[in-house]
This record gives sequence, structure tokens and C-alpha cells, in this order.
Amino acid sequence: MSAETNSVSSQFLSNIIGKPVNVKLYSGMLYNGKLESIDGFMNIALSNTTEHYENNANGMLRRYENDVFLRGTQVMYISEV
Amino acid sequence: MSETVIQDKPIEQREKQQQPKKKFEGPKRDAIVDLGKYKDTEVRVELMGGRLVTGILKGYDSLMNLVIDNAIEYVKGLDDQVDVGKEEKRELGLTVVRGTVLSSISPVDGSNVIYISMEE
Amino acid sequence: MSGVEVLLPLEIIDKTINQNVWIILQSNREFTGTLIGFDDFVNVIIEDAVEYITRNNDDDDIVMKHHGRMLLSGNNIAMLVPGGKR
Repeated sequence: MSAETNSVSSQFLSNIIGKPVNVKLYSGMLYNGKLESIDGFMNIALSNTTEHYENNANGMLRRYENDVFLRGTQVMYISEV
Repeated sequence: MSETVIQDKPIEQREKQQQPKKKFEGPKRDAIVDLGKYKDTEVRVELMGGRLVTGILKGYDSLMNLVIDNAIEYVKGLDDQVDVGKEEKRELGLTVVRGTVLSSISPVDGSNVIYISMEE
Repeated sequence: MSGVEVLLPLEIIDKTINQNVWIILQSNREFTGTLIGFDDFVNVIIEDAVEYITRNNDDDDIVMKHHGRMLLSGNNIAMLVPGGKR
């Protein structure tokens, strides 16, 4: 399921590394943080992460001091913020 | 060159080497149904997750991605039942349906809704 | 034998690049936005996406309005409708 090197998606991914992003999982949990790393499976590592349900307006559920790893199979989207 | 090497090995090992070739041929992925038969006719498509869509089949590919024109989606009721008789529907227009989520496709023509009476 | 022109699904999607698109997931979630591109798995990149959760009687709740680009996993995409939501 890995993305090939020249596809639009991998171009996008290399463009947004180091930037603040929103990542939503299929469960509805939303993670806002700085994108440290991402691979072709959409496994994601974030730093300075806050956790919300569905959207940021719903209030912060949790703040993570250390890096957060999100499993690619559970990722619905990753979006620039 | 490589053949002589194989023949130098005992029979059991030779068989081991040849077996995988056959095994990995795998199932044939050819389409078992020719969607061309249904082109430009009305079809009923069920998707994984419970969505139900009808419309005119305009195109398809080998992965069973579909192009449906005048697509109408029948929305699930509160009881989770998809019911064509009910008027809970919405028009999507020209739609691409992903082959990865397709669970069934059948022509609308030649099928009926059967109502089961609860009385008597 | 069969029709003169069989429309290829991925070609239709390709033609909607830089236009509005409406993306419907298997669940009751939908997205609209400008289609920027997609890959072999139909992972999709859309710009200025609006995210909806659909309820039974046609009143769709906007979950979130996104600015910039979004990579939407193709894993749970059920349908793509060129032209956007109507």
C-alpha cells in the first residue's frame, strides 16, 4: 500500500513535513500538531499535539508533551492548518 | 547452466524448488461478469457500509470502478434498513463508484420489489 | 461489440481535477472541495475542503471547514461526484 515516489500524494506529503497539520482518525478523533514524519502507509508522527473530538471547537481533550504516533490504517485524512 | 545445478540436487529439493512456481500462479482475477452487457441500462449497486445506488451504467474498468449517470442514492432509514419503496433518496448525478467498496451490482430491469404483508 | 465509448471511471476523476468534487465515504461522512489530484489507490488531495456528517433527513452538519490542502485516504471512499455537492 505504499505510495510510489512521484505520485501527487507523496509530493504533498514531502511538502507538508514540518508544518502544523490536522489529522483525523476514522474514530472521529482529531489531532493537531507539527508533522514530524509520515510514510507511504500514512503512519504519522506528530509533535506538540493536542487531541480533540471531531473539530477544534469541541475543546481540547488532551495535550501530549511527547511525540504522538498515529497508525496509518486508522487515518482518514491529513490536512494543512 | 542453472538447469544443471537443479539436477545435481536430490529429488526432494528439486520438487521443493518447482512447487512454488505452480502455487503462486494464484486465482485468476479476470472478470466473471461482463459489465458491457449492462452498459447504458439501469443498475442497482450496493456498497460496503450499506449505501444503495441506482442509475445508468455508463462505464467501468477492470477493477470494477463504475461510472453511474443519473445516480440516485437511497438513504438508510433510522431503522438501518435500505428501502427503495420509501422516498428517502437524493440525486447525485454523474458519479464514480469505487470498485473497492462494491458489494453487489444487478440490473434493475427484470427485478421486482416484493412486499410481504404482515396481516392475516 | 459493446458501446462505442465506455467511460473509464478514473478518466472521469482525472477530468475533474481543478474542479469541485464531492467525495462520499462508506460512513455517513462527506467532503467537498477542489480536486487537486489522486493516486493509484485513489487517495485524494482536495483544497479548501468542507467536511460534513450527513443525518437522515437531509440536514447535513458541517463538521469543519479546512483551509489549504488535505490528503484524504482512499481506503474508505465510496463515491466521487464531479461538480460538487448539490
